[in-house]
Amino acid sequence: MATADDSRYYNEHDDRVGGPKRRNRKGRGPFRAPLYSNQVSQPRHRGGHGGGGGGAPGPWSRLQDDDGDVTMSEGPQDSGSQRRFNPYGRPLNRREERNRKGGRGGGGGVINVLCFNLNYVCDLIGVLHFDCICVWPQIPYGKKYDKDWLLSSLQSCSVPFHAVHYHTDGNKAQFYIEDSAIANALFKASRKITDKDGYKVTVIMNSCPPPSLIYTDLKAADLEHLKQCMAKRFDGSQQALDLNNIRVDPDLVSQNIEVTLNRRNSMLAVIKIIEENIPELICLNLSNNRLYRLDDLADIVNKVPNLKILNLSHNELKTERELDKLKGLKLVELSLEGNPLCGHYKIQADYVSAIRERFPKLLRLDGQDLPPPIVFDLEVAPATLPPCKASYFCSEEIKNIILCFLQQYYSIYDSGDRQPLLQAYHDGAAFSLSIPFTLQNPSKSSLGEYQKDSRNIRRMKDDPTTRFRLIKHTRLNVVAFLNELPKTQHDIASLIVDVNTYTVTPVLSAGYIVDGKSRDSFRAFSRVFIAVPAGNAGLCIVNDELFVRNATTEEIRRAFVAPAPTPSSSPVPTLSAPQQEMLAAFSQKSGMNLEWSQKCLQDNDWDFDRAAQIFTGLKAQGKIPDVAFVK
Amino acid sequence: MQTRKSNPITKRRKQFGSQFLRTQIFGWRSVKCTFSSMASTVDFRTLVDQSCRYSDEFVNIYYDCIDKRRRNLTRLYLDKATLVWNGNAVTGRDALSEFFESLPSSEFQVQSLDCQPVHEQATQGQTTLLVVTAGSVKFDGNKQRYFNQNFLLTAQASPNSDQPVWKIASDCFRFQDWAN
Repeated sequence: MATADDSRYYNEHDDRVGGPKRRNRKGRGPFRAPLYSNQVSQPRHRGGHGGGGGGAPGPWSRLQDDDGDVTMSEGPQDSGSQRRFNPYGRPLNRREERNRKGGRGGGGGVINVLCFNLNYVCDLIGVLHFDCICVWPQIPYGKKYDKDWLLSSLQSCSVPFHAVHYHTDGNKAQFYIEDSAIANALFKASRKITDKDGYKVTVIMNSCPPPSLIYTDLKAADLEHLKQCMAKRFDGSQQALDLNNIRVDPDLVSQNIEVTLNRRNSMLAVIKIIEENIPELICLNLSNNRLYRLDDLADIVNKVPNLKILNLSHNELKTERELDKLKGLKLVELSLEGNPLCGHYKIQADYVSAIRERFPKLLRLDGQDLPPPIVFDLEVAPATLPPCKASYFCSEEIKNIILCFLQQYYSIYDSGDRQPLLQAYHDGAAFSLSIPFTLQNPSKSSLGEYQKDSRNIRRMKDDPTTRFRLIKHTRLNVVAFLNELPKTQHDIASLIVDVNTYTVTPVLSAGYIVDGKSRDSFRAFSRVFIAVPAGNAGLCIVNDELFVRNATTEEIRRAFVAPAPTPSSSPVPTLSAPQQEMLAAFSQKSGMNLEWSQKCLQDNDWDFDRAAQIFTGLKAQGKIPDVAFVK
Repeated sequence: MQTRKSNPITKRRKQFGSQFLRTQIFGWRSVKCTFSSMASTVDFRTLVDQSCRYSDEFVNIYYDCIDKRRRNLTRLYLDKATLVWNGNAVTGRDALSEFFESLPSSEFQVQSLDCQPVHEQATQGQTTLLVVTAGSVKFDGNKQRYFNQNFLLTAQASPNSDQPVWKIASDCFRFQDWAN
């Protein structure tokens, strides 16, 4: 316990801290001094120092936070910030290291607290963006502490805080804290707590990127709660949604759901719920949510196009450039007061014009009416699209011919051997197929079997050979190729057919097919047939182009639900009461839907037992299609 | 009578191997039959190459026009052309003009393009192209949606120039999620 030594260390500290730091010490919080002292006093008092600094993870040593925004590091904008982290990483004073190594007897806890401005860190490291200032206290030997004791002691010495993901790592106890102000306070609590062994608990600040596991996406059940919470905050008469300080909403807190809108997952989840339920939203209040950037809110421009009133007051937006991300919103009213950016403008007019640059139609800013902008009298472009309709056949006659043709075509197509299709094609027919081109992962498409033959001539401009190879010419080639395509099962009921006659009949049909190989591959397709009349009210295909894509979940849900329309046109007789009873009973017993149950009964003259026998027999042979059981 | 050396079959055999040859024999013969009425100098390969070039150019012009010069769009259509737009049929230049004017301004992104020369049997001798596109479009005030579209382009003599011009004879457009 040589005091002299102590002072030597302290002096050394000072040396190491060096010029600039000393200079600027005034401007800084207690950050540095206690850290160093804690760091070094450790070995003196306790004969060794565990992983305090050494345990600091690699990444943050790369950090170059030259943004003066982090309250924890007010001070020099120079490499001082780099040096801030130095003590915890290499290079270190050798003596320091020596002391650090070596066994330690029991030691008091040293809590390493990590703090940094996450958004910048994440930009460097490229992980998900988190915006809270995350503090990662580490408590070497903290493992031996009871978590509750430790946290409550810390809280009693400083301020109440919420420790996220408290865990032990080796000998250290670590947890995360979101607020730099709280982290500061925790520092002050360093060495104020004495544990039961007489050692003092020290707090050390460290910084690290938060592991993504603490910011997982909201679970489905939580999303449901969130949706209900938002529903309560929604005013239908005004089409207004109030998400002011949603984080402390009692509904969410009681369910332990963390919805922090300055985190990407939360914001995206909220936008998704708005998009799915109230896309007509006009007024949105996002005040008091600690938003410091609007990147994650940018989607709202496309998904909630009618938004006119937006309240972003009392957040942490530092520059009006954040609003660029919302350009496209036709805002009429905007509130920004309480954001740091407001302080940038001395002259109100400059402020107004900067905001209006992004939102030219703005009429009210921060509660003040603005003089209306002078506009140009352009024609107002309509925003509504014509309604979308189902199949378009030119005439009844054509409709029948085509539907009949398609039924036949697809029943052969789905049958496993497509050879008979030869009759449907003209001698000189041509066929090609294409699949959607996605920039993300163009090589790894789940439309695997179709991909090698996909013909997207935009991608083949310099390759005329491939362009030519991929178009199958003459019916033999066409059908041979079709036979190589995966086995399919088409949902005929879902077919939409558009017919355009210009001396010929091009047909666009879109429907759903299931890939034979894996029952999970639902595809949707769009196919163009150009056909000429042939023989008795038949068609002969001269050109055939197939576009295949994956079906959306909505399409999958709808597919194969409606029973396939049978071409027979016998009218359904009304049933008598006993027949209806029999039908209900039969449907229940067999599991088939009413339509198919009725067919079975009718075919068997409404003899329940006979129908049941026939049904069981057919079912055992697997002859009853799945669609019969879809209710 | 063509000599063996210049016989297209042997040429192709060298290129693609005998398996291809089997189908090619038939193919070639059918091609010869069906195209016998056309100028013998135009073979299928040339038609395919041409169709690719023209359709690429067409797609650039068409979508640029519909996005930026909507008023001029109907000029690309034949007088009696028909458009089927999500099941709505629009025929004739005037109706088309009105229709396009009623659509909000658009931003198209074509992601895939395929084309085929249309068999002359279907066109009564008039050179015709089938152009098939897919991509996404954002109409003003609406959200972005995927679409499929196909065109029949036909070559017409032009009163204004010596060269024939392409005109849209038929146009069929549908959102992939039209039912929503």
